[in-house]
Amino acid sequence: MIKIEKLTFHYKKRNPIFNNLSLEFENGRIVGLLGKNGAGKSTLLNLIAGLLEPNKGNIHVNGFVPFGRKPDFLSDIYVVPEEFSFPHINISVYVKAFNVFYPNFDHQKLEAIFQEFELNPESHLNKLSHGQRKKFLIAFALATNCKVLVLDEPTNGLDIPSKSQFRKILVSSVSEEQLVIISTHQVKDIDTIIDKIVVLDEGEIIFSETTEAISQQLNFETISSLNDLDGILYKEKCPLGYRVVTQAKGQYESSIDLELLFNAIISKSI
Amino acid sequence: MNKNSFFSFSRFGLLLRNDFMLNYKKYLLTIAGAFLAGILIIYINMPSGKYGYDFHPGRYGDIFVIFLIGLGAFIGLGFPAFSNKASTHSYLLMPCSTFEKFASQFLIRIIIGTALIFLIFYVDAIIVRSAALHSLSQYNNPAKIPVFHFSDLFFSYNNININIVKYTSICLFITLGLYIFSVRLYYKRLAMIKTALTLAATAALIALLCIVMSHLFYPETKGMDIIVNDYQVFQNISNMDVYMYTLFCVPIIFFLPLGYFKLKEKHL
Repeated sequence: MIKIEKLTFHYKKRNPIFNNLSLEFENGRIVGLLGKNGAGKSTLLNLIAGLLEPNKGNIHVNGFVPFGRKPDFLSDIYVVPEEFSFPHINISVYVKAFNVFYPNFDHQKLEAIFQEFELNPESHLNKLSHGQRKKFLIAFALATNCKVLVLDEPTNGLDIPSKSQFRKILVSSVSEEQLVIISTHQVKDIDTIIDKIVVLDEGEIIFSETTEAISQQLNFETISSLNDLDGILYKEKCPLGYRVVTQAKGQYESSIDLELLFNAIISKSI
Repeated sequence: MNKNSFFSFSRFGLLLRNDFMLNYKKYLLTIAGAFLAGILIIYINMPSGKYGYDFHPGRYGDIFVIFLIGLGAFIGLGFPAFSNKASTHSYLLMPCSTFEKFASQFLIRIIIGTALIFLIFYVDAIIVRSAALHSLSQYNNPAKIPVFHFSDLFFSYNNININIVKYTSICLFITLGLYIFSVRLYYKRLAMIKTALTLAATAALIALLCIVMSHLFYPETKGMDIIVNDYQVFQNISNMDVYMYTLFCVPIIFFLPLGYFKLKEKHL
């Protein structure tokens, strides 16, 4: 569980990124942390991971203060960063060198994910493509079984089949005790797997809702003409006419169009 | 305090294992490079063939200073993960305590590094002496090369106050090592170069302070001269001894905690 209370943070000699930010993430969820470039997503993730120290306020992750970087805290959180570098070794040596620090590491799960991602444990890490290295890091992260998994732009660099494999593997690998935070601006890549959406804009949480609640409250559809529909909250032109967000009327639940929802939130239509 | 969150032998062992698994090739190459460079450096400085005269045992100590510079570079390259943001990220998130991370680098870079540099120098000195003696005998060169003893590194020149050379040299080397080890944590890119520059700047400031003091208290001082009035503080201990001990020994107390707390507060 992550609890953030009245968080204020700014980089040296810069304006505050967060001012009195409060937020709570419960275990057993896959949270989509969305926001435009520069909204503060990566900074928030670094604060949660203990890589940055808040100027004011408190952060608690599984009962630990992240910046204390206690071993017990670090062995229960795994961060897949957007940019990463590896030592000059092959996959199996990397696994041997690092799995020992994670008490719940699951080798069988790792092997299964390797097979799914078509990764060869004997491959040299630095000879793999960016996408393959990212897949390896995601596989390792999932195999650690850490209570908190933080994935920063996990689908960047993945090809189309890998993106769908990623979604499938993530959903099947994560247990009820885990909390997964996925930060991305490629919202379409994760729209089917997240169960909570948090939108960050200019250092503030402007939207935080479960997908269940969104489905009950909002309706997403594509219509040919605006004349046919009342109560449109947000609309976007598309080749078939308009993609619209309307208030749900309780008849049926439409699947969430995450990109449309995100644009509606950012434009403050919702 | 939960001791396990501060230091655990098993975790420390795993951290060392991790370091050796990732860097063993680098370490082996460094040892091989130091060994070969050492042979070359000692051979150049020893008489061989028909050239050269008796080799004074004190020369071993002079040559060893070059080895110590190499050791300084090895120490300065500690915490290699901090050379870029991505590796800093994974190093800081490695599930070990800050103390374990600091202690592992201290053990590898300073303790093992120092032991190895002495060992390499010893082996190099024996090999090169044998080769040089063989070469001298072929040309009937009567030059003598004494066997290397570790004591040659500190006590060879009888005309220098042995106490000062012995204690201040040891303290100086330890202080410099710890300075490089700890201060490099304050920098991200080109940490070793920046650390060396700050060291040079610190030395220059101390020299400047001495010059200013000399001008203040001894008006006859000329230009950049430093005048020190030497006198006995205690029996066999002069004010210069005290000054040297203070300058070279006292910082030892500060550098390790300085480095540890910097690592503890290290941000991405």
